[in-house]
Amino acid sequence: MSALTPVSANVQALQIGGQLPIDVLHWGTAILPIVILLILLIGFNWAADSAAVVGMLLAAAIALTVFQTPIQTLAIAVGEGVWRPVRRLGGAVDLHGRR
Amino acid sequence: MVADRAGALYALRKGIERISSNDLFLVLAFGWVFVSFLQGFTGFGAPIAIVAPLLIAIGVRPVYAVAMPLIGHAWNNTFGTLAVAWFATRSVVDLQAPIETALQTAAHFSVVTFAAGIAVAWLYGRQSAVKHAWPMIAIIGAVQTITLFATVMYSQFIAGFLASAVGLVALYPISRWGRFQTQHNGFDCPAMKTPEGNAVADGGTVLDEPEPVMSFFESIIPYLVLTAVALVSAVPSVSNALGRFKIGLAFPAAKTGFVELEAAKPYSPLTPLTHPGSIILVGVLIAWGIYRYRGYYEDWQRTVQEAPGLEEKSGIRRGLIESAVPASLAIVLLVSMATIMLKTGQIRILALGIAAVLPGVVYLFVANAIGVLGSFITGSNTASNILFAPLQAETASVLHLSKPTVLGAQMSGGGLGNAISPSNVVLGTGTAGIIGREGEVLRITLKWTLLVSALLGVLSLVLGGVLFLGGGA
Repeated sequence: MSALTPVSANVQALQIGGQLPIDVLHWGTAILPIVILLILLIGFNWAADSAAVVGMLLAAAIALTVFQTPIQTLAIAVGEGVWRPVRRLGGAVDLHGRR
Repeated sequence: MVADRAGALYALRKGIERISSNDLFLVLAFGWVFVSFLQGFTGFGAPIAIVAPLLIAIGVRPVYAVAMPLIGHAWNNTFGTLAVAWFATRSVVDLQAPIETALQTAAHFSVVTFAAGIAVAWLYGRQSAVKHAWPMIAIIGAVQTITLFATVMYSQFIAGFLASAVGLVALYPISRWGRFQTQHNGFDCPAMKTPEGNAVADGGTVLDEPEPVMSFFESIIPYLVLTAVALVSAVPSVSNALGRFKIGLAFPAAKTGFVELEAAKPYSPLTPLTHPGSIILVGVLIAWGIYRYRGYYEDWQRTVQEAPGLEEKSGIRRGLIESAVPASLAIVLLVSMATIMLKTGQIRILALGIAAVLPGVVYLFVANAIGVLGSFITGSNTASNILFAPLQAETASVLHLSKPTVLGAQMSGGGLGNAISPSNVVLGTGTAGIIGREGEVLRITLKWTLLVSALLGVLSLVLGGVLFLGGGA
């Protein structure tokens, strides 16, 4: 786990970062899948399903490398991604269930 | 599809044309007012999926027919869907001033609804259309806003539904007004299909459009049934009874390098009887039964054969399966991407990073953008609030900002983000028959979203800095 110090005192005061490393590298890589998704959709007129494949794989690759996610966690996340849209038309992600 | 094959959309268009022949009135009525009404008690993208084909039936180009309801429904997200997203916030944040928070949230959303009315008119015919439609936008927007403010103090549960329902009722007197009764003076309408393509078929002879096979009332039966079923199943006692029937999959808790999420509760059970898909299925089955019984499918077949060229006009589209599969695939992929980013802490880092580096005033300005980010990635105002409301509340107290204002910004941003969430866009492009053209839709809604986000930022500054000076929480 990276031992970089938080960029500002705000985070220390907030005390809600937990073990999350708030630094330029992690912030930059975290926003990358979203930026790429938008560029592919809007800039290159890709269809949503093709752009989403790239976005998902990128998010997974960043999770495995920069965020040190175990492969099992990744599998669970993908499994939920398949299950959630079945629950809800439109695949609204609801973290805590209905109740 | 069921409605289409029986010629119901054609009958619907004919019926609508009798209410008013002013296209701008109709586009606003469906793309802003009716879609908001649907958002009042349904949600999860269903209003977009329902309204996009209706707008196409009026003559709106498919890309605009998806973009308009996306923009039009956004304001009714937090208090719409019977305020699920509002109660989600309450479940994760201890609100010391719930009424003030509700009012501040409503204030933010009033900006979104006026901006939506103006945007839908502008998309229809640029400045000329806005100039023509301004009294309608002012009246409906005011009616929605006033009802929202008045109701939200007493019952947040019903506020969004009531505000949008009163807006819908206000359409009737406006439709009687001469200005909106007949077609407006000619100006360019980039959102509409060119009329020549519609009226003139082979050899330049103008074809008479045949009589629809069913009455206007019968053509709206599917929507009436849908509305009725959704309303009944939204009543808490009925909802609980139906929700008892569950099918569940258990997902283990997630571990990552940095975050540990407790998840062991019987994860997200599927409740088939309250599933929006089931509600739509009931509506479809009842409509199919009635149309079948009255023999409309055969009648419509004959009408189509007798009038060549009618088929394309009335918008009969590819098979349901053919259009549903790519849409579902895209949604599964997008939700997988979202869950990966959530479970590994990527989304949290984004929000924490913003909270960490910005000084208070700037934070107040961009607070709504964090909400937008949440619903962009998850496709849900509820999920955005659960994700970010605790962070926003905490940041507000550390930076000595007004908590109700910051939370109002979060929730309105979460509603606004629904206009650009790819999983919502895909539902619209699916029913509009333009799968693969999501980028064109996003290009329209993203510009609007950025503009409104900036407006909301200014409002947050005013509400949090001037009107409620020092009034944190």
